[in-house]
Amino acid sequence: MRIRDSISARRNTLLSIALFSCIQITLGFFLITGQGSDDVQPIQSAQLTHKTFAFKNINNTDFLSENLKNDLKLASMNTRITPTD
Amino acid sequence: MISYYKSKHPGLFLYLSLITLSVLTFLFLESNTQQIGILSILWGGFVFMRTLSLYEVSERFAPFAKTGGASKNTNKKSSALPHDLMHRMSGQNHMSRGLFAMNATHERTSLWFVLGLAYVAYHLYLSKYAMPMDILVQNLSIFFMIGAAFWAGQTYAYSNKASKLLIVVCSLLFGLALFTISGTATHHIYNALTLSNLVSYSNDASTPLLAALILYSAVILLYSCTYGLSYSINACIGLILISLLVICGVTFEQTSQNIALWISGWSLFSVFWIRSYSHTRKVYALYQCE
Repeated sequence: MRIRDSISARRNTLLSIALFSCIQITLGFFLITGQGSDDVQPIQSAQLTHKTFAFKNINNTDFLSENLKNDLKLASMNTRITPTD
Repeated sequence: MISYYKSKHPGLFLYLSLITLSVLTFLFLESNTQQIGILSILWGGFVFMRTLSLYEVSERFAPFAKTGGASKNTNKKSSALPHDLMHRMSGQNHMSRGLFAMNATHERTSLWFVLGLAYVAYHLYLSKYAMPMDILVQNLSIFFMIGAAFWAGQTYAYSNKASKLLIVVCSLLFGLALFTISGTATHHIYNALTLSNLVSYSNDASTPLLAALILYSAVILLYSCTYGLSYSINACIGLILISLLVICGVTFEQTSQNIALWISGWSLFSVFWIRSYSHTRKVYALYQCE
């Protein structure tokens, strides 16, 4: 019973790793064809100088305040565009 | 296909070539999306083939584990031609190596992957509003590359010769990455080691889970030292290496060259990780019971 369990567990682990590799291949094709970029060409969107997940980049409070700043900037632009006569 | 019927360490040189190619690409080329995509496909294909070779070993040893060895009944239906028997006998030794490589499917390795996935999920949660689709796919691809280097390295490190080769190549690549990233690397590390800087980095997204990894490694080291295990020195080296990676990841500037540092560092860590345990007795006990 124990042997059968370990064999099936090992088989499941190998199958899950194979699934991960299939996901990785899919992601690779996704990157090559450039379907991931919304409105940017693949080569232009390739700069890795920001937002690589393994390294420091995200400060939650800073990010929220930056987002708020963008909203405020958009709001001020909208009011500026509105005709005032 | 890479198979234990054909080689002692199937795919080892392919793995080393992939590690070298990935590190050099991220270090010296202006890595773009398509290059990362090609590397991702190469790593995915390699891991798939490596999984198939281990699956072959697993299925090959399953009937032996159930029946307690080869018997006339199990071999009755097969074609027992001389060349077939010779082929099986030569493959038998290689297969036993593959059984050791199967230790990379242990629950301890799965725990690393669960921690890594939790790390990625936490990162995505923090940056869910800001990350475009292409950056998200790039980051996931890079995460899978690091995970593939770590897992595939473990499957080869059971052998003395293969692990020495892995240590030499990965150490060279790791040193090259450290040397290339910045001439002020030691300055960064020295700054990070001061307490005030470590506290100032505590808002970073990567810090909590990486601290959990260090804690986990420390528990392993404590366990090894408690039971007087002679191979605990490998766990100690791995702990130092992971600490170095954490400090580099927290303190260095964000460039694609850091990815090279992580790929080489995790592949080097995989050697020490798998060799900090002795598996032989456990596998033997596993196939003796029932």
